[in-house]
Amino acid sequence: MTRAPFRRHRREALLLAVAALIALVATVRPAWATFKVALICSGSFTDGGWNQQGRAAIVRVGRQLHLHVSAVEHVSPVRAVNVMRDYLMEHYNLVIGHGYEFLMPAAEIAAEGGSTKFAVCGADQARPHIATLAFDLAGPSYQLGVLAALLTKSGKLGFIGGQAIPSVVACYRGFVAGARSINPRITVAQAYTSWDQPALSRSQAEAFIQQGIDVIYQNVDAASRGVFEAVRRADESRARQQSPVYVFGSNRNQNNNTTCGAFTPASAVIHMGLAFRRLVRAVQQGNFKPGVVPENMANGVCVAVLNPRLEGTVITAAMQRAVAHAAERLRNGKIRLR
Amino acid sequence: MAASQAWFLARRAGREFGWIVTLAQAVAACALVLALVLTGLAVVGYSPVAIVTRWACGAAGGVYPLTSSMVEACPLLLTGLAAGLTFRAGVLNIGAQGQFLVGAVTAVGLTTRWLPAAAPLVAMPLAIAAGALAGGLWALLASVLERYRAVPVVLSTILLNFVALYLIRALLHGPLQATGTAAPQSPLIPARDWLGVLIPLSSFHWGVPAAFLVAVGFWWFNTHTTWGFETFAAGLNPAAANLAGIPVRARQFLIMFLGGGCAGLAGVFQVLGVTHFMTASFGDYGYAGIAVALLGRLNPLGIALAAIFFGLLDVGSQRVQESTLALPQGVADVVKALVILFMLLLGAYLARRRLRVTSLPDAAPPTSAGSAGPPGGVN
Repeated sequence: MTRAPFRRHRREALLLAVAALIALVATVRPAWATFKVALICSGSFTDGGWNQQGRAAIVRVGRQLHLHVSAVEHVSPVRAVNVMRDYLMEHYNLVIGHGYEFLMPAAEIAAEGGSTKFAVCGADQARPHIATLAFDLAGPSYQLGVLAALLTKSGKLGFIGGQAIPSVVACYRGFVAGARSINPRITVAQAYTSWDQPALSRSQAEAFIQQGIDVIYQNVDAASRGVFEAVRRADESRARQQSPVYVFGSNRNQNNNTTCGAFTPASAVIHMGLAFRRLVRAVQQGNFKPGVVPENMANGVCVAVLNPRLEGTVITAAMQRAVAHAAERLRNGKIRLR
Repeated sequence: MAASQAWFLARRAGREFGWIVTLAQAVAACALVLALVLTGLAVVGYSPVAIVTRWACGAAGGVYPLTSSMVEACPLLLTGLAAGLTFRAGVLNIGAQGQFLVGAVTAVGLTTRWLPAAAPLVAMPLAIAAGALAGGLWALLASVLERYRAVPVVLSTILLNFVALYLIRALLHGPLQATGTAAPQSPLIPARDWLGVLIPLSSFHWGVPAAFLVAVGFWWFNTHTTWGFETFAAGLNPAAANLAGIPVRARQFLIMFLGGGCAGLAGVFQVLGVTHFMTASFGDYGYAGIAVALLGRLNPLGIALAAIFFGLLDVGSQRVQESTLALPQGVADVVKALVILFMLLLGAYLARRRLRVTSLPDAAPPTSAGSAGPPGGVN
């Protein structure tokens, strides 16, 4: 008696069960099908610059593209080989070494075989099996140089880097070229301090200010706080007749830093998310190509960002035009930076 | 009579099996720290069970994790020996980091610049010997400064660390820089000069067992040789050792050279066995070695155990970070610091307790006509 209705609707029930199963398979992503991507950083995720930005970018891309993301910090080149081998053995699809120091370990592990693709940011060399994302801030630095030359009253500029590595030296060269395109007599002092010692970068900035330097371009990540503090103190103690000291940000948009945002007219910014997204897509679609991948102004990854709060006051319309003009010439290839 | 014998047996057991007390101390310290860390992790919202499982499996859950932990322990052991041996001899050598870097850069220079085209099995042994020698000589600099200019070793070794660091930066921006790049890094060491790997698809090079053999060698040196005893005596009380006819200064020079050599060897093994190239940021094993030496109670075998423990901690925490648990690397450092702190606290507490027990009148050794005098000498 009780089985009769079930028998009557058995076909419908079966169809319903099959449909539910199909729906379940479609919505639940099996673990083996998940695209796995890893980011390896040598510094801290709270450095306020390169590493923090890299992690934020990969996490954002992971959310957008539904990836399984793993990110590790404080990996020295000594440990990089082991960490990369871990990811290789866990069948990650893409491993990104976030710094030039990971190029050789990546090349060594990539040569061991496996389906994992390896990419390295910030290096300037090609290696077999490795995609080298060469973030080129030289162009945006050129624009900052143009702006600095128009802002300075003393004709003296300063550059503080964390370390003389390819990506940082490129910033210095671009900055000098931009400044000298406006005023060939301008001087640019350079110093390399540390990535994570604000006290060191602060004393260097103070020394620059004492020498009469009134525009400083810094690329020191976590140590940038020290430069900002030195500039704020200098601007607080200066008389109104004296021209203020300005500072430029780098890697991420530091125009709205809380220490001296009112004296930060611009930043040279890397949109890492764009580059990572492109890289992930290339691996997913099977278009991954080893070699140096230029990430620069031309593809919109590296750009100069003016501080909108200072436009019209500190940054005059003429300055904005000069910066935009420089960008145009860089894009057209009329200016070539080495 | 029986009481007297029992007392002496207990004293002897205490001397000969003191390591059991140290081990018990270490286990107690680990348990306390684990409880503390797990509670902390649970409070801030992590899953302690998942983290501990991942940590343990990542550090020791199979052949590959174990080999990774041992590879990580290798430089820690050698720099720990560098610090431990010298501390035991009364020389506060804080410069293992500088000696480590100098050893590594010597090996890189030798294999990539001075002997790039040497026949196989020529450059590698030479690099090992030269790296250890360079580390030893770098350490001796501090001893020489102390002997002839009265500069405290603790100060000069710290400062020599910075000298080594900046010297290496200069070299990596100059003569040792790889061609075709602006990056401050050395060229890749030719593959024929790499240390052989004992387990395929891992970094377990033969420098790892060699490092443990060095530790055993130093244990034997300390416990079975006159020079080992003399360096220990010089460390306990230099003035008394001097009066006893021990050439204190010579022994301290020797041990400083040997310690520096160990740290230099650590650098060589890292560069020839693991990285195969060098950058300015080449790890801070020299500083970690001091903690390893303290945890190992300045005993070479204890230092070996402490190095393995630190290796397991480091590799395990790395695996936790690699997983989606997103535990910051700083947690591993906190655990290490807490273990050392708790061990020192427990050690101090036990020492005080022992002192109190032995100072009680009824705890004094029962004297009898037939018993020998109280055991003297230094173990």
